[in-house]
Amino acid sequence: MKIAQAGTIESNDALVIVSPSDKLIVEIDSIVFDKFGDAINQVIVDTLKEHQITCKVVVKDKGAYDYTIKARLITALRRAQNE
Amino acid sequence: MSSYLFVPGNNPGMVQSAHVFDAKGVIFDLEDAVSVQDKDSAKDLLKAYLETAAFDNVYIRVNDIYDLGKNEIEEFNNFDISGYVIPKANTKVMSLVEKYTNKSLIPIIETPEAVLTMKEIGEFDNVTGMLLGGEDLATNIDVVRTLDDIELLYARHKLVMVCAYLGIDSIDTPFTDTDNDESLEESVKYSKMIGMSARSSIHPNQIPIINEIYKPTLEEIEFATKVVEAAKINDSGVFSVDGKMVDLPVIIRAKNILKKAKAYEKN
Amino acid sequence: MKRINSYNELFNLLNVEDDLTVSFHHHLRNGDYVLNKTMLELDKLNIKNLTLAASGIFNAHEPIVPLIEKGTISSIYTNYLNGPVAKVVSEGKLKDKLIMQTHGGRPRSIEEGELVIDIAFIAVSAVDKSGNGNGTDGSTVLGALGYSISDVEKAKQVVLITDTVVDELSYVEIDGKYVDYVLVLDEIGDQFLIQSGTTSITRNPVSLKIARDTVSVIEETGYLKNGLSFQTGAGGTSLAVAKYLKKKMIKNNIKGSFASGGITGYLVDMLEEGLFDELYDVQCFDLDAVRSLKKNKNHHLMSASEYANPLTSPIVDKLDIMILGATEIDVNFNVNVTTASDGYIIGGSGGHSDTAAGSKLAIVVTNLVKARTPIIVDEVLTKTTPGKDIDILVTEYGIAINPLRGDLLNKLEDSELKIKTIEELRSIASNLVGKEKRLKKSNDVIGYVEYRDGNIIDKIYKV
Repeated sequence: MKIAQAGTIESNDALVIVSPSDKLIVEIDSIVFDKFGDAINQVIVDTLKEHQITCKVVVKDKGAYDYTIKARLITALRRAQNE
Repeated sequence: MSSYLFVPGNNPGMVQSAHVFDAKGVIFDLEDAVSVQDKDSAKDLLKAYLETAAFDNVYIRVNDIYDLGKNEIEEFNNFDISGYVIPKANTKVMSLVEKYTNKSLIPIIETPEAVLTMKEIGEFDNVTGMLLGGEDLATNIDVVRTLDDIELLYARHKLVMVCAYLGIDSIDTPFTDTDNDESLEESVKYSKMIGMSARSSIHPNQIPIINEIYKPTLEEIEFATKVVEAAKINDSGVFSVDGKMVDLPVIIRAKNILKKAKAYEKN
Repeated sequence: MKRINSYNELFNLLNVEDDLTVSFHHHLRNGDYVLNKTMLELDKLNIKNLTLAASGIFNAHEPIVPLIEKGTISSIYTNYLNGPVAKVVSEGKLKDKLIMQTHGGRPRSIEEGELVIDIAFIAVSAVDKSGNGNGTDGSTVLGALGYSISDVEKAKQVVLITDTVVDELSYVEIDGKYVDYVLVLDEIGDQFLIQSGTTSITRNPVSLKIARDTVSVIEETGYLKNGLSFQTGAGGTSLAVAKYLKKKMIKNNIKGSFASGGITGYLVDMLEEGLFDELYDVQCFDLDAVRSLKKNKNHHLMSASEYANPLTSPIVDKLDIMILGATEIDVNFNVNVTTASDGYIIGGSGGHSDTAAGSKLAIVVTNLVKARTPIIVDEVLTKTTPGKDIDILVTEYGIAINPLRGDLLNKLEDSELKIKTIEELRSIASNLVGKEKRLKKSNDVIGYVEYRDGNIIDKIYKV
């Protein structure tokens, strides 16, 4: 695994950056952190579990819905492993 | 409704509000509106979206079938979508696509070859409509697009005839000048006049204009209602309504207008 | 009336001391130098516990933040509060109380003697030799001065502040008989920033869809008719409603009676094209409005009191259609335009609750969700405008009619528009955004929302 990213910092989107790590690390920077910080964290943790991957995830969120964050993470993970 | 809206597949803001504009069909685009390096993320975004949202008349425009298109079709077959919009269609492409999916297909007529073999393309089993790709077609015959689409005259009229013959939707090309509502109106009136069953669009702001023009007018509905009522009483074949001679084709048209009008009530 | 050239001289003449109430208008918007300069000069005199009664407070007023923190300013009355001042007030730095009034409630309270102003500092673009003033002659153009009129008429002492003295004004809006002093400064504001609050009409597809559906609902409820009167807020979607209304009025050959409120070039065009007979202007949002005000006899000045004071018979009571925005709207149609969902103050009623109460058809237009934040909520954080005064909510996902307006529901029974209950819209929003953690209000009250009649209808809590 290497560093990879997906998404953008446009409105309703999220930029997700993944990098190798032995421990699960999730860093969230969100314009709706107070209200949805927990929800965003949950999506990240669940998606990583589904893919059985442990790594570091940095999220810059501009009000993306859960499915968008999930999609961006999936893309970033695939890019980290493929390319 | 008689409008199809193209929505860039990698833009979450546009994907999430795609269905609020009352387009008849939404076409999520993996092809021209998505950059090469984001083909994968557009696919992931649409999959994640489709897992949470269920709407009628959702299509995906895949990439070239000889390139990414094949895999895209196979990956989206498990999702609840109506079908695929197929770029650079010809009979060979369609015979391949037919093997990959049972979902409904809308081939894009955007090459001279496709214009000439339109009927054969439309005859493939799951084809429910054909869409004219005016930009690419113009490029392929080496002309510039004009506001009144004179250069597409033959292709447009042929598409109407072939689709009417096959009983499938004829979907006119997008109008790409998104800041020119007046010319859009003229162009859509022309589409309706020559018999196109729908107009496609690349901008949500165009959808209400298209829907409004395609919606039967009050005058049309009133006349059609009179014709249908009068036909119930007169079974003699030819009679007149408001001074106009009415025979069977007029009655059929009147019934069609009332059917369309009904489709516009409550959506 | 005496003309002077410096604050020192002015303050020697005025009796300035602790605990005074000083007032300002907000016609200079984000280009305002007058409020800042005056307050900083007062601060130099080591005065304490001033009450600041300003009709609006903006980003431009950041320089007075330290005065709040150290108690020079201890109370604020205003109709609209945002920017750095809003931030420190939200965080509880104001010593005494914040009263959020409305554009109609403010002149009512001044004229009733509830809010007593000791000194009104009134920026004008020009004065003449007799101390008359207006907002359009001179080099710094403000437009109509509607929000200052009650202050001028009722304050114990009135100071006009200007950068231009002329022999003769093209018209008089502020009568010199009320004026005690004229202070002439080098400059009173930044012309560019005075105008820059204006919004051009949006191209955002969701906003435009909402605007179009709003005009459809106006038509289907029978309010699109000859003689209609109309007002809109300055938000992007609200302005777009004017655009589609204009199209529809032309198409259906409808001629309106008047448009009112803050005036933009867009409404001026409609006046000039004969779509309205008259404009009633409490403030000009752009220079087109100023130009029209000076030359068109059907473009009238109005004071905030004539506009919205519930004890007179204000223009808002004659309004048919009012288009409003919302930061939040709850399932009982209560609207919040005072605080953001994080609890910080970001605005205030302005004319929101006045026009909602007065107009026959008050329509709130808003996206259902903005950047994952649902606009429809179970209960608004702060009640700016009571739900009973809101008739219709238009969102991109559907239109909700206040159940109190059964007449409207009847008219829309066979509509092609997506009519839904507000609870249905609320649940669509909840499904879209997912599980949301609502802000828990603190227990510290830092301010009050005063309805136009003077009743307190809600409290604002410290962040």
